[in-house]
Amino acid sequence: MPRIKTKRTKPAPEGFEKVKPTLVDFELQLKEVQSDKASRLSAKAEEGVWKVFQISHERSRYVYNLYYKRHAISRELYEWLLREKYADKTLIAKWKKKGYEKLCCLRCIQSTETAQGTTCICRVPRSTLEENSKDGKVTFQRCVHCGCSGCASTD
Amino acid sequence: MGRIWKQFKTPDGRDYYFNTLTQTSTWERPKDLDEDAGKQDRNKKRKLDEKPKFAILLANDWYLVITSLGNRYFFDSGSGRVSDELDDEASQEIMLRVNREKLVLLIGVARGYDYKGRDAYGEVVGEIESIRNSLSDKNISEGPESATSSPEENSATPQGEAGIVAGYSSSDDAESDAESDDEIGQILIEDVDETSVADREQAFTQLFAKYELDPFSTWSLQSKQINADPEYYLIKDEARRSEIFEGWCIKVLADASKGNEHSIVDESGLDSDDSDEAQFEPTKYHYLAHIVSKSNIKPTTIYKDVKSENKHLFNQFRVKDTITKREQENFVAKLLFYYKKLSLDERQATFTEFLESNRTKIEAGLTDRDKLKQLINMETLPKKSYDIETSLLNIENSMDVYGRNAFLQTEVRYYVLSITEKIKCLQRFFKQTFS
Repeated sequence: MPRIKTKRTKPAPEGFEKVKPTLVDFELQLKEVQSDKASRLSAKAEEGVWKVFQISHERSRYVYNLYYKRHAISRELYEWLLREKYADKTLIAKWKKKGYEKLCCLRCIQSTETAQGTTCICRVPRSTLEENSKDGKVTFQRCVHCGCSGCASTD
Repeated sequence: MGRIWKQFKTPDGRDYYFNTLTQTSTWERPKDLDEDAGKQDRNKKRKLDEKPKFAILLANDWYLVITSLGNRYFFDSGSGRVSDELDDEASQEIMLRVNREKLVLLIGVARGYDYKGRDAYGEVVGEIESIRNSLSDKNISEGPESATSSPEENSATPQGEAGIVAGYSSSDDAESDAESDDEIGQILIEDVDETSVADREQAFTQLFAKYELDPFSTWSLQSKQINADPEYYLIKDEARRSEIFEGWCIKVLADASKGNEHSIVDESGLDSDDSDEAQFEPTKYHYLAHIVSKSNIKPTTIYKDVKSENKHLFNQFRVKDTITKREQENFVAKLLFYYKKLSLDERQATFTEFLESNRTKIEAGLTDRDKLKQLINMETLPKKSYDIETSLLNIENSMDVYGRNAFLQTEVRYYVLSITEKIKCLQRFFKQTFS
């Protein structure tokens, strides 16, 4: 979530007006998701959070693309956006690394938090999942953490 | 009102029917049951109701029928037979030759899409007619057995037929279409598979400009604006679509920033009229050439060596702001060739030769002759390197390197000399002009 604007907040650098409508739209999407009630089934309880993850991932990706791919915004504006938390800079830091280009969320690579000491199943390439399954059919659909359906760079 | 007849099963599995009005039951399936059920489900079914919308005569009494859901089947008016397969050679031949894109368009129209300013039906009919004519001509010359109906007769029928058929279509069709956009997509794509990928992608890209999408936005938002257009479904893969959009954004933004640079250059040009102190924009490869001329060049030197040796200069002059990495690499590679193979004298000769070969062009482009004269007649060069550079920029400015003589900016041979040498050569060159 972006920081709350106060008097002390630095004014946005030039060019912010151009990206503002899109960022506002993302915010609206997040608000809509906020009011969704969680399912009472314990197996589905997490699913409401998935949407939040997905939208904030999309927004981070948007800011990342604007600066690194489209070269549409200035360095100052990019840094300002990160400082105001319009994008997750720790996630973006991972995207710059080889093999993490499509990473869905940071929790999915946090191997210390899992019982097996491995990363989330969504990090496993689809082809590997297919090889390891008995009949070539992959039962995995979405991961528990953020609802990612596979974020290996080869997918 | 509920249903009159209800269907039940006996414990041993046999069906029986119960009339709720008369409270009677029967083993036989009553006739009204189906009608009844039909009435009940009409609302549900109406949206999926398939009605023939266009009929186009192919050959030998066979018609191509396109329904309001975008499906197609064939109808033999001779025997009244309807089938999915075309059972007639001449008609098959026609179907093979018809322009796929037009057919797809027609399917789009049948499904309720309003394609402004284009009569898809007329186009397809016209084309099929011309194909039929050319085929029947051929057939007559080969042997008369296959051409049975004359083209004059046919041309009248499809129009009438289609008029009637189109009359059946209701306004509900449009409604159902909006909801099943993805279905259209699939149908369209199956048909367009033959047209080349590049063409489709180009047509798809043109959509962005047509709908004036925002290059600062994301695909997930912008796609909503254009997904009602049938051309949106030219690309099947959503991931590919967003990829194309990203590419388009990059291109548009790059173009826009280039435009800005030009305007900056223009402004600086305007400023120079007001005062001599104004800062000039150097030529495109000015700094890069300067760096190369300063660097220590051995026969084995390549771009990378130059770059690592003069990293601070690259940063100081902000080379990468104006020239892309690839352009830098290409330019330096070419320039290094001149530095490695030719001595200073030879390079001077190359430079003068290049100017001489374009003498008329350059002289035609001169803007500020008086100032240039003054600069040329300057006997001694200034001491400070900064002033030397300024005088070169002054000369270049009065040569109008940004306007009519812009071709000089991109020519490697224009950069083969260091700044001081270049000024000397230019002075010599222009002295001839004014003498």
